[in-house]
Amino acid sequence: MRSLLLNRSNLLLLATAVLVVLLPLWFAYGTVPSDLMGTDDRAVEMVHSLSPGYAPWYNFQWNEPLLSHQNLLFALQGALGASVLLFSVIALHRREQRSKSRNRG
Amino acid sequence: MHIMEGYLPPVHAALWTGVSGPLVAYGLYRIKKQIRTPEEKLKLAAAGAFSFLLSSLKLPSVTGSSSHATGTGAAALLYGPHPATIVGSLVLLFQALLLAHGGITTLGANIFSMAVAGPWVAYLLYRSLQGLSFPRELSLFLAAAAGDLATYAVTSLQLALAFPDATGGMLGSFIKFFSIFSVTQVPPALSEGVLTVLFFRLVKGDSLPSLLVSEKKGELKQ
Repeated sequence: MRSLLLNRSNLLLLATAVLVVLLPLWFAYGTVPSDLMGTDDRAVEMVHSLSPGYAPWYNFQWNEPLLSHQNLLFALQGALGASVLLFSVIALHRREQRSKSRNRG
Repeated sequence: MHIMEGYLPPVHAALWTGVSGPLVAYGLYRIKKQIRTPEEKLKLAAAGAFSFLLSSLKLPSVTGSSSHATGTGAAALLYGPHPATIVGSLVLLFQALLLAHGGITTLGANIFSMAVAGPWVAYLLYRSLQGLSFPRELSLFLAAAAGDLATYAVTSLQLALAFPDATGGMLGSFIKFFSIFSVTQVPPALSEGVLTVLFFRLVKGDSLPSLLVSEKKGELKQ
């Protein structure tokens, strides 16, 4: 299983995915800036500049106190995704190996 | 690409909800019909988890903004655009309710861009490229990256329709919004393309050809 998940060409793909994001930053800034504004918030700014009188007409959030830790919540989402992904991939490979050995036997 | 809570006027919010609602309902129906074996369920779970993971990562970009991938192309390339609609909707609902990212009033519009338009672009491009006998992994890469970018183009269109520019009109407004997203989004989109190829290697995603066959069979039956 290890060879299936972590073979050289898969690791190369993972590295490419990371470098595609990091390399332009290194070329531009020489570092990875940490406190950038999200494009979603920039779009909000653009809404205000295009239509200065606009105010959001609905804003209800039940978990207001939690939101000061928004980065933590994003990390939670990522961790949830990563663990379910890992679980499913491992389960898929186990099933496949089992059916292979059954066919052989 | 999340339009924030309350940042679409009520009429626009209602219209996009009206468009996306039936598509979500149809997506649920298709999942029930299409995803039956334990393998298929595991692969769909993996595709959902992939989208959860990718859309949680805020990636910095040279434009001085950060943005994130969508991850919905994987589900679309695995099982077609309708199941991908459900995957994307779940991610958006989670983010709207728990993370205050996006919103309930803008959920319909966000579902349309990330969970309908993106998956359809990825799916149709993949089929066309395969029709032109492109290598399979190159097709997966291009399709997933294009789906990601298409999502952001549709978001810009939705915002432009709601907030036209005083001088440039809707086109001027679209260009303004899309210029926020476009350059910033290129690296995350390429990254998503590469990760989608990796995803397919991990789940041995040979489902799309079989999906196409079973879809044709289904059509014949009907």
